Amino acid sequence: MDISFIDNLAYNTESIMHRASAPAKILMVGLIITTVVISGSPVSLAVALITLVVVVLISRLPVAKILSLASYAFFFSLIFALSQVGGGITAPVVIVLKATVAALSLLLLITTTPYPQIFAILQKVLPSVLVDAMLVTYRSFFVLIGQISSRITVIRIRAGYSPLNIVKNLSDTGSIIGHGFIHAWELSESMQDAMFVRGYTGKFPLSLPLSSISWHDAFPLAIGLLILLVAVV
Amino acid sequence: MSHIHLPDGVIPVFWWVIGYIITAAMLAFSFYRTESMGLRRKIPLLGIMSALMLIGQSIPLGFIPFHLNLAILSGIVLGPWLGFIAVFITNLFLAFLGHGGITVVGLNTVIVGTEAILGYLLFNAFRRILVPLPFAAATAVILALIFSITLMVGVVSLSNINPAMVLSERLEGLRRIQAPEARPSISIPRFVIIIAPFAVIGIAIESVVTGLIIRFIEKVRPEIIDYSRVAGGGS
Repeated sequence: MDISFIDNLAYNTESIMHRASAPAKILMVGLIITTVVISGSPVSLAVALITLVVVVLISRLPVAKILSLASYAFFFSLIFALSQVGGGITAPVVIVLKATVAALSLLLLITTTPYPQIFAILQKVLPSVLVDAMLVTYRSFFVLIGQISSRITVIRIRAGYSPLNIVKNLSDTGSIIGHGFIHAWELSESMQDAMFVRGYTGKFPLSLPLSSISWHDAFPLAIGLLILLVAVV
Repeated sequence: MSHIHLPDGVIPVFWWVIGYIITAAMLAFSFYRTESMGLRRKIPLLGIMSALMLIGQSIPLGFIPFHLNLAILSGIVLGPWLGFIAVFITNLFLAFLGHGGITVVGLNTVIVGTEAILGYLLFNAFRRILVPLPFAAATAVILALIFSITLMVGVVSLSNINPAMVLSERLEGLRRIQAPEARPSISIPRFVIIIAPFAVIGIAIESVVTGLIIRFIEKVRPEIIDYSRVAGGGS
C-alpha cells in the first residue's frame, strides 16, 4: 500500500472523476457497496468490475497499479473463498468478485478525491475528535513510513540483514519498529505542543464548499446507478 | 492477525449491523473513559499510534498472507480505551484501502479491539509475576491472539450458518445459483484448517516482535510502558 502515491493521484491528476464533488463520489461508492451487499450474481458483479476498470481508465489512473492495490482484497478473500469450494465454483467466484469490486470502488474514491474533502464529510457524521485523530493518522503515515524505510536501508547497508539468521533478523525488526515507535511517541509530544500553541480548540477546521457540486457529479452518480441497476434488473 | 478479510456482502446484514452497534457503544464508552484524562490533548498520540498500526497492518510479510497487528502493543502503551479508538481508526483506513470490507469495520474493530483491551489486562497481570517484561508482553500477545482468533472464527462461523441460504435470499427475484438441495455446506473445520498454520506462524511472529519492541522501549524510554497506567488510560 502506498498512501503517498494515492495522495499524488488525488491531487495531481485531471479527469471527469477528479472534477466531480466528493459527496457525489461517496454516493457512488455507497451505491456500489449496496450492489455488492445485495447481489449474488457473478455476472452482475463481473459487469461492475469491468465498468470500474473502464472508469479507472477514463480517470487517467494507472490501471495496473490500481489493480495491484485491489489485489490485496482479492488475495485475502481467496482464503475465505477456498473454504467454500466444496459447494461449487459460483460461491467462491462471487466472494472474490465482491471483494475486488468493493475495494476498487473505494480505491477509485480515494485516488480521485483529495483527503481533506473526504474528512470534511466524515466530520459531519463522526465525532470531531475521531476525525481529527484520523487526519493526524493520515499525515503521520507518510512521516513514519519514510523513517522506517530509512532505518531498514541503514540496517541493510551496514550488513545488519542476513537471510539465514532468523533470530538476528527478528531482533533487528523489533529494534526498527521499536525505534519507529519511540520516534512516533516523541513526534506526538511535539505535535501536541505545536497544536495547542497554534490555538487548537478541539476541532480541525475542514470546509466543504457546496459550490463544488457541479454537472460533473452526474458521471459518478450514473456509474453507481448503472452498476446497481444491472444487479437488480 | 485476527482481522477479518471478508469483503462486503458476505456477512449477513444482521451481523455487521450488530458489529457496528457494539463498536459504537464501545467507542462511546472509550470516549467517556478517556475524556477525563484529556482526550483532546491526546489526539496527536492517538493519530500517530494509529498510523504505526496502519503501517504494521498494511505490509504483508511476504511469504505468508500475514501482517503485524500491533494492536496489543497499542493497548499496552495507550491503555485499553485509547487503544480501542486507535483500532477503529486503523480498521476504517484499511477498509478504504480495500483491506476488508467497509461493512465489516464494526466486527473487525470488536475483534481487534478485544486484542488491545485483553492485551493490556494480560500484560499488566503477567508483569507482576513474570520477569522480564518482554516475556510478559509476548505471553499476553499469545493469549490475546488466541482469544481474538477464536472470536474471528466464531464470527465467520455465525456468518456462515447457512451461507447458501444467504446467497439464495439475496438472489430472490434473480437467478438462483444453486438448487436448495445442492446448497453447499460450508465447512468451518476446513476454514480453520486453512488458517491454522498461518495463525500459528502469525502468533509466533507477533509475540516475538512485540516482546522485542517492549524490550527496546524498556531500554530506551521505560516510562512509556507505564504511560497508560500513569495517565489513567487503563483505569
